[in-house]
Amino acid sequence: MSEPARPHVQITKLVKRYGDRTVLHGVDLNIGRAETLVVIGGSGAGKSTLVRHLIALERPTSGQILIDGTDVAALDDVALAKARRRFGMVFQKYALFDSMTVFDNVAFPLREQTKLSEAEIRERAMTKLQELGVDHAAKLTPAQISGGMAKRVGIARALVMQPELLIYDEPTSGLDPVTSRTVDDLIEEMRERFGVTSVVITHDMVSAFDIADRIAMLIKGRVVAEGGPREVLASDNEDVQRFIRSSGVEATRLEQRKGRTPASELAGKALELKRARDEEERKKR
Amino acid sequence: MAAELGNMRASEQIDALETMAVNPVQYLIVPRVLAGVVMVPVLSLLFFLVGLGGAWLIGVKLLSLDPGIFFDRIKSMMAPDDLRQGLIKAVIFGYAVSLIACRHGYFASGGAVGVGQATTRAVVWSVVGVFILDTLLTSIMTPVV
Repeated sequence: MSEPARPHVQITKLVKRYGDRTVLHGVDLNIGRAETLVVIGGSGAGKSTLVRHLIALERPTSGQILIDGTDVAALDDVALAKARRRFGMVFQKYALFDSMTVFDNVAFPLREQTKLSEAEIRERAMTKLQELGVDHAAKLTPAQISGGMAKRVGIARALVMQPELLIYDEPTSGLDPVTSRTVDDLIEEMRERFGVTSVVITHDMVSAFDIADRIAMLIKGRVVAEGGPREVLASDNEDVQRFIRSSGVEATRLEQRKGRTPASELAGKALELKRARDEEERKKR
Repeated sequence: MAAELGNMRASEQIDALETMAVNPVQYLIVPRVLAGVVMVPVLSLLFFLVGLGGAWLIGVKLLSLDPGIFFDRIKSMMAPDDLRQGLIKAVIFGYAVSLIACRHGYFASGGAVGVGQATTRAVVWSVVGVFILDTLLTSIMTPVV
């Protein structure tokens, strides 16, 4: 199979059990390069568990997760650490380090994973904080900032390494509508500029339909609907329709943003960036 | 240690370290255990000196005991080996207590309740661990007369 045709992420028959409780019942999903997949579904549907498998924070009971053709569950610690340098995750509860300032939180992955000078680290981290409008809080600790600001710092920290695969666990929950749209714009910008593949868990239906190339609806650990936003909107699945109705947003308002570049056009650029990065790593070795 | 690591687990900070390709055991547990191994003997020494000072204060200053008798009694009650044994025990206790605390905090689950339970378990097991180790170490290090 040629590389552009291969999905960036392939999830096959993923089953996850905790004791006798089954959270994921054989999930199959493919995510193309530079594509944004939005995962929707009620609380306890298994969305967070699903995305935690992508970065090997959870190991599957059975099934397979291939990222760039590599089974992440089968990697040893060294290979996994290397693979994780290309992933980023925005956590639901921000997951900022309490003992560090906002600036140090964003600079942390650069200090740990790169050999950049302190001046370069400072510039990169501050730029990211500026882009998210939280540079004024750089010297504060996470306990001294609001939930919305903490969310933006969490996003800045995930973006600062320019990952190839970005996972957002409810990036707009707890944010005001204006900031929510800024976050949507950022997710779009990362995709347009760097061809980032994104997996977004959200309950925000406006956001979901705004940024998604594809939407997957998860109910009780099963994918009940999957496809482009229009297909999902037109789905005759009762659960999907109930979910859209309950979101309080009229179906006619759930339109895609204008002038959105299709993932297929960005995939080539994303692959070029990936190859350049592979080459850089090879040279370092 | 258990409460701090438990909170870090509950607020996904440990997961965040893992996603940033940082080994949380190396980053969080190893420095704490090393700190335990180094600092518990230092603290023991401090407590020893404070205890000695307190005894001197009460005995000599408050109860007007002769200083010569006071120090003579201490010399007759204590052997230099006691200090050596105390420090060896402190190193092992420091290692065990910090490891127990880190283990319970690191694997805490279930939010605030889980953190509370992990902290209680860490304290209980540390006390039990110290008792067991103390018995073992004393029986190993004290020559049978």
